Amino acid sequence: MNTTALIFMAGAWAFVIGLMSWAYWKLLSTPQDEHLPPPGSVP
Amino acid sequence: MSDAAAPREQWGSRIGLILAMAGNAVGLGNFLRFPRQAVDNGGGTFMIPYFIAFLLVGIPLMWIEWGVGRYGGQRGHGSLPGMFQSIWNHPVAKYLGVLGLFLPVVIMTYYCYIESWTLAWTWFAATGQTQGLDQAGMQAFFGSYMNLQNGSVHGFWTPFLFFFITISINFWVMSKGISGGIEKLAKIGMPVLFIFAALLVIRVLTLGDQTVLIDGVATVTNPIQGLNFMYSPDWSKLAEPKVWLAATGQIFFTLSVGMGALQAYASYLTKKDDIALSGIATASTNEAAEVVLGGSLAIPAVVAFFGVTGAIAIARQGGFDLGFIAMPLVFNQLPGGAAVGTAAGVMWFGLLFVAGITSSVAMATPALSFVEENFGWTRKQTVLALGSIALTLGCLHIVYNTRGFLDEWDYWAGTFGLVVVALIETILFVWVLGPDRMWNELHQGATIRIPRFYKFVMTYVTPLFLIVMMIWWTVQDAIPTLLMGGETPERVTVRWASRGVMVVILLLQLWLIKRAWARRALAGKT
Repeated sequence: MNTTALIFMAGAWAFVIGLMSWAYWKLLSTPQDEHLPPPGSVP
Repeated sequence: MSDAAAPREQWGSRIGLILAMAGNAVGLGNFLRFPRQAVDNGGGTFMIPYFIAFLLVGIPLMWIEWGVGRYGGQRGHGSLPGMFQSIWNHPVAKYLGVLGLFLPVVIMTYYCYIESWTLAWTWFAATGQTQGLDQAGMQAFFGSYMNLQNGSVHGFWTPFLFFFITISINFWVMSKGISGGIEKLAKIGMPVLFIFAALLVIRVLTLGDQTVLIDGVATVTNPIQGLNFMYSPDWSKLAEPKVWLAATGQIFFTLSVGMGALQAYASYLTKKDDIALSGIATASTNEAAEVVLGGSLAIPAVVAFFGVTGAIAIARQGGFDLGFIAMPLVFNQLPGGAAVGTAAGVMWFGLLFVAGITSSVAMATPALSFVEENFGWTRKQTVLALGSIALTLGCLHIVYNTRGFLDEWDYWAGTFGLVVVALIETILFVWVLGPDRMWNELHQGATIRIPRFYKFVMTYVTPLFLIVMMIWWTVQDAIPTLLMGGETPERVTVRWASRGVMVVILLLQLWLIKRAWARRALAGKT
């Protein structure tokens, strides 16, 4: 596999796996009833 | 329109909701359409416009659809006519929402037919019917099924039988409701899909060197050559607008936006439920399935046994040739004998079936909700009625499939219509509701703060992208498709008949919306 192709593949995989892992980690580590205040409501 | 919402079903758990949403998005296109698009549009460089479109169109539309769905659901609406009406209090709004009933019903009908092929091929793989066939034999096997060639390979009624079974499974799941049917299906189906796909990817990528005859010459090939071929950049393609549009189109199809199904699922959320992070989780699950699994299966496997030139030729013939002819040929040649080939075939077509059914049940949800909420039908009555309609319309696809009947539906509803809905809902949710209200709506119950940059993107960039895409598609495809140049008289007749059926469905749904609002007026709900 040539280096440029490898870079593109690794970049694409890292982006989607990274985003998915972060989203599920955040979902599972945040209690379901914990919410941020609506924008603009906290000075 | 009254804001007093009748009690509605709710999702059983947050993870169940996200799996159901992701199941809706992960479909046949992740495994059959994406690799073909990447190969055709510059390989590695395709990933640049693809991810830009994901960030500027895909994720914003995901949030908009979740937002529109929850906003409408809180006001008692599970489909676009009521959702649009609740956002824009104008008599026209509900009629614009007809597309949110028309598109999913039309797409679901032919999608279930294609889904029934995957069920049929799972059975054929399990019973060894595709074993030992060469390329010509595999093409005849596929062609016989598509053309209803009685007695050549398959019986005349075989496609009808598998379609009937597929429709029955779909509507049985829907009859169990949101939490008891769709959510359970997603909780079982999605892990199965990922496990099957991961096992196949491992098997394909560890095949090693294969010596195969290409044009009569013994040639050493390797699945890694397939990845190399898929990801090698062709920089000249970045300057071509059609590559950017193909990438945006792929993002559009893969996330299942513009259909009305995501909004219908989101309508079962409460004000306290998060949509900001859940939207990202859904979109990223779909992307992982597409880029990591979908991109590492069909092309590397086909390259390993047909070489790069052979793979290009197969991919250009279309995703179905790749999935239903080339892949079974690959399974026949896997080291380890018939048992390994059978297991791989069952897993491949099984995962396609799961990908299909988790999407098709979502497509039926808007119409089911609309009839239940507006005409007081029970879930079982609605399921039986819609199932019977889908079964009847699907039979037309089976009979006229090779004469352009399905292509018409796929283009006008499954391609062009999606962009129209996305543009309308973006204008309504962002511009009619107002950017500030839209922003607050997205943050109700949110567990993350969406970067402020996205407020600008959703207000200006996403609608602009959609307008450019619609104009381009109108000029490039819609006008030539409408005019049907170069078609045989028989195909022209079938395609006009196909359009006629779509118009009848659309008119019927407009009439149903009129009746529904008349009933609401009588009940004092307006």
